Amino acid sequence: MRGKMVGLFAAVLIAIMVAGLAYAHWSETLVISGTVNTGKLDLELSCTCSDNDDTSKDVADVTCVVQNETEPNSITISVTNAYPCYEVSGTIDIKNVGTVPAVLIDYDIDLPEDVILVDLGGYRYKLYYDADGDREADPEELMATAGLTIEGDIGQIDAGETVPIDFYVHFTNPGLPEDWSGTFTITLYFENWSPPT
Amino acid sequence: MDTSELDWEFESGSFTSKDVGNDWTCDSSCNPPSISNIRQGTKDIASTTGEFVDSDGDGDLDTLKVTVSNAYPCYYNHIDFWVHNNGEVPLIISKVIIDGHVYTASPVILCLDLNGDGNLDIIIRYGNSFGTQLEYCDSANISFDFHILQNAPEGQSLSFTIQIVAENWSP
Repeated sequence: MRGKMVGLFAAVLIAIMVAGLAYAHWSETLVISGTVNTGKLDLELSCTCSDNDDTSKDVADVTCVVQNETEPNSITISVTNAYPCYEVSGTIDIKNVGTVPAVLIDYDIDLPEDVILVDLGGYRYKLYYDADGDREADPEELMATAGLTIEGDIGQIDAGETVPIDFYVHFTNPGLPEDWSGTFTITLYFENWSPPT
Repeated sequence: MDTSELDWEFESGSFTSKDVGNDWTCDSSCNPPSISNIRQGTKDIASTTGEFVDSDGDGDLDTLKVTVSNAYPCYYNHIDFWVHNNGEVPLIISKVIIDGHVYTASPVILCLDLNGDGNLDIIIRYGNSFGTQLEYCDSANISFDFHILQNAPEGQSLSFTIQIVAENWSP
């Protein structure tokens, strides 16, 4: 009986020692508190336009309106009563009002009804009025030539920087219908600049 | 019976950031997590600062506040600093907890959704300091790096926490 008591006492003592060893660690913690404040990608468009109408015979008209309230940004150019040799021109300013550089990654041009755009390369274009509805740019349907000149790097607009784009549309025979009016909407898509891969 | 004290701290003035001048970037993946091809870019857009703080007023610098400003997807930085055993017993760095994820061994690298929108915002890689033993008055260098991911939201403030746990050395 006494031997059993001694053995039991020893077992209890060993158990207490083991438990004590298992919980013998103090600990101290150092903390890294990280805050990441991300920048803002924000572009603002503005547009001015004019035409070559004689002030004494102001037959045709052009207006341009920008949409900056929601993304993507867009510009709408409306032409009224165009005639052969009528020319509109203007400048679209793309200003980076955000805090990170921006890159133009894509654009859409929404054309007036029945107008076909042919890209000649080098920011030069021809416009055709598809009178016969065959969706082909027939030579006799040529209604205008157009072009863009980009001053600056559209592929990398730094914060605070403005890239102007000058444009013109020259209406011409033989395809321009009488009393033609139409609206062009250009939508621009941007993303933040990233270092090259 | 008087017991000893386990105590350690960040070393004042030891914060360094790789982003000095033009920003750095890297390639990264979250499946599985990896960082590679670290390289410097051609623009200085974002910045990172560090500040050591004694948050509990006991005289030890126990918190490092790291602040990234004007961050953008693809921004990378590497941070390192020194820690110092200013207690009375040797200690061992035993555990790292990053936003609730517990690690007791390397590798420590994970992608995190910091704002709960379902998109991963950042990948963090913590250097291997597990098992580092600091004797009394000894110091060690610790580092981590991070890469802002493509889906990080713009114009927001995101937070993360890294807890570095040391335990007293024992035989």
